[in-house]
Amino acid sequence: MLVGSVKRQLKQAIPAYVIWILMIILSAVLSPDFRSVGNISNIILQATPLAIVAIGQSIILIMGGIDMSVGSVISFSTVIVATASNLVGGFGSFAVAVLAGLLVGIVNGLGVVYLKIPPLIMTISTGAIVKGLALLLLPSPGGNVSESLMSFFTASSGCFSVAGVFGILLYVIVTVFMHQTRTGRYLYATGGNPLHARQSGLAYNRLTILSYALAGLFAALAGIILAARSFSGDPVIGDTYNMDSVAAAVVGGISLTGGMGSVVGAFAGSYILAMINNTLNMLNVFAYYQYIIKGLILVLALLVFQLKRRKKYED
Amino acid sequence: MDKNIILAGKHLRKEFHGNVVLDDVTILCKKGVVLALVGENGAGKSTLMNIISGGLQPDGGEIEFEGKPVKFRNSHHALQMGIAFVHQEFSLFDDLTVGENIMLGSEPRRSCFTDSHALHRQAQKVLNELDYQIDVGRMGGGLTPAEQQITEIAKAWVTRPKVLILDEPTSSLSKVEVDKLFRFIGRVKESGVSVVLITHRMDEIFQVCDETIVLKDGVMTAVEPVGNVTKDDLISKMVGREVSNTFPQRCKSVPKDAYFELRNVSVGKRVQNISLRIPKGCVIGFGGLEGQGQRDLARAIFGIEPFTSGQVLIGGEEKSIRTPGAAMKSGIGFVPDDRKTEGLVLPLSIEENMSVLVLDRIARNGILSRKRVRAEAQKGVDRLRIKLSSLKQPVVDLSGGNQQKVVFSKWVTANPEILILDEPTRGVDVQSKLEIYTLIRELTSKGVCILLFSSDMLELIGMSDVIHVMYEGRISGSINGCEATEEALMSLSSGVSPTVKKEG
Repeated sequence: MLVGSVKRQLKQAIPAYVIWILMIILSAVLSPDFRSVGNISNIILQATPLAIVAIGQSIILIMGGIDMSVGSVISFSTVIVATASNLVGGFGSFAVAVLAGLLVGIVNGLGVVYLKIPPLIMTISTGAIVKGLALLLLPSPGGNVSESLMSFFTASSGCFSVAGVFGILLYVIVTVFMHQTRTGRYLYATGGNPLHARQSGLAYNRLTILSYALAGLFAALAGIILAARSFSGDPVIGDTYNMDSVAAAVVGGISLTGGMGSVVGAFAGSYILAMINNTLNMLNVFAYYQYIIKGLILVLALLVFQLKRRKKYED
Repeated sequence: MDKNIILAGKHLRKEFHGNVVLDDVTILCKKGVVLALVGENGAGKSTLMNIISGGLQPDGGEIEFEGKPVKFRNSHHALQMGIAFVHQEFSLFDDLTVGENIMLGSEPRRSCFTDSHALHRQAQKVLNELDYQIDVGRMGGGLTPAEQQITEIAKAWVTRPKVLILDEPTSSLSKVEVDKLFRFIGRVKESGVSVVLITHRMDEIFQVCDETIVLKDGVMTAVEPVGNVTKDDLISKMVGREVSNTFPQRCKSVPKDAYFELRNVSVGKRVQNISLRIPKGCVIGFGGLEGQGQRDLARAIFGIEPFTSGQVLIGGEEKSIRTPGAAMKSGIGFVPDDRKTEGLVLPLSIEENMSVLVLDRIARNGILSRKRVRAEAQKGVDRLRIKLSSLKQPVVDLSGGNQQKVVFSKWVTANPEILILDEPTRGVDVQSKLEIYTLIRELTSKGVCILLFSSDMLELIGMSDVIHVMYEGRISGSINGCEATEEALMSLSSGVSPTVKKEG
């Protein structure tokens, strides 16, 4: 049914799903606690914000960039939701946070395209600025998240909350967008070879700005869900998401050099990371070790895909 | 106003950093006419084509499209108007299929989604028009240069251009493929499209072209119908003087004992059981159709993708060459076929590129002396007469032929004992070719072994002492350079008579 490069891109996501399913089976067999509805909904709760940021990060990585400002955008977004609710209402604050995320993304894109600042430097810089703004607005965790926003996203039945389903819906939309539209194909092409993309008359500038804007948008959405979940704003809550979103994408089979992999993989990648966290927490592993383990997993994932791609075109 | 003229560039002028590269050039692309654009590298051909296809803005003169003056914003704009330019450098995407590459920018859609089935069907149809079979589902990254070239042409043709510009389309094609391409050009011409063909191969002009434009140093030296000119006319107009003999005399005495020896070497299945004994001061040619293992052999000798079995002996001593570094230590040099990605660091200056292999020699106590770097580079520039405005110029600004001379020069400076040349004159103009050939002779007279891998049969015949023809990873026959003919090489290349063995 699938024809062309889509097949190849989707194939990259298979290892992540295999690992994910194995992890689920293993955990379910080994630990009765894992199978509880409470624990499963807890994992979904933890994985959803990460999965949503990872969408944006994946688009950027596929297009050949990287976004290290998503963490700050998440924090900023929680802060906006927690401070603006009183002024513009629950869904008004939702809109402001989304716009702020888009704006940061567009600034990133403009900087990369027109000022020709390398993506890593550009996004770290805007990330620092945005983090500063978040701390100015709300120096310490707290604030006031609108009741309506919170009850909307946290409404649930069984394991499934609105937020979790919302995350899945976003994945469906973006996957179709990346694989079945011209713009999606051009994003892959740009990441595969930016020079050739320009020579082929693709709107390189617009594509770049678009992908950073989307990354900002998804980071903002992740922030809103985090705020709704914790019922507060937190100016540093997003910090870990810079690395985690890249890790989720890479574990999901997306190439750090662009043009390879599928957003679908980042979904499994996010859940794998969330389950590792969950398991380590259940085993009472000290938080500092969790960083070390995450770092090792990232290196391992990179190594595996590197070895696989070395034989890329040999028949 | 002539109604047949689709695209006209009039009195075009272009300068780069104060260098006039194009001066008062007028080009007329007519309906159903194949125009040959010839000239040395650096004569301004690519610049001219870039201007009339929107890639560059002229500094003077004007462009008319179907009788009306136009100003192309960029090459995309020109493409939309119907001017397609197939560049000499390929721009395919490794991770898209052949079909997706061909249809890039004109993907068929169902509502707002791309229709992959229709896309690949349409791409197949375009390839059929070219009479060339490539599986449209294959990835761009796995194509041979010839397949890439055809895909590029299909990619341009799918836009149904009114003017089709082809920059050296035949340089990576085999004889059979060239014939197919020319038949395609013939059909395109019949349908009223104007074709511009940039080429260095004189025979091709007389085979398919109707008119010629000759450029020399940015100035037009001739515009004539093909019937009115001869090969020698064109060459003399390109270089501005008579060229009687392209190939310098070969030296007479060749020592007999082998210096460089390959014993039963293989690279997977791509190169199988090749054994050679090569004396000092010889030019050994390697010919054959595209993709018969020549490239793999060349790269294996230099340790890029090492031999999987067999022995390599230099001066009677067995050497293990697993990396290019080891190859260089053993005195092997390699001028790769893809100078842009493998031979040069494009943003660096000429002097930096030329001295990169001999930094150890130039440095004193680990510190480089600018003066000595410059002196070394100047020697190379003088030796090959590289056209430049300054040694500090980035090589990316040089023309193809001059870039190739820089690569060449870089390796000569390193004093190799064995020099592998992979398509040393691909896309290089007549004058530069001659200079490179002369340099090869100078090297052999000093005792350097030259391994010449080339798809240009005349070059092999003119330069080699012995020519080995490869077919499906094996040497299908060897001919003494003096006795070789194009016909003999052709028949060996197609694997017809593997029994012919006349090694001297």
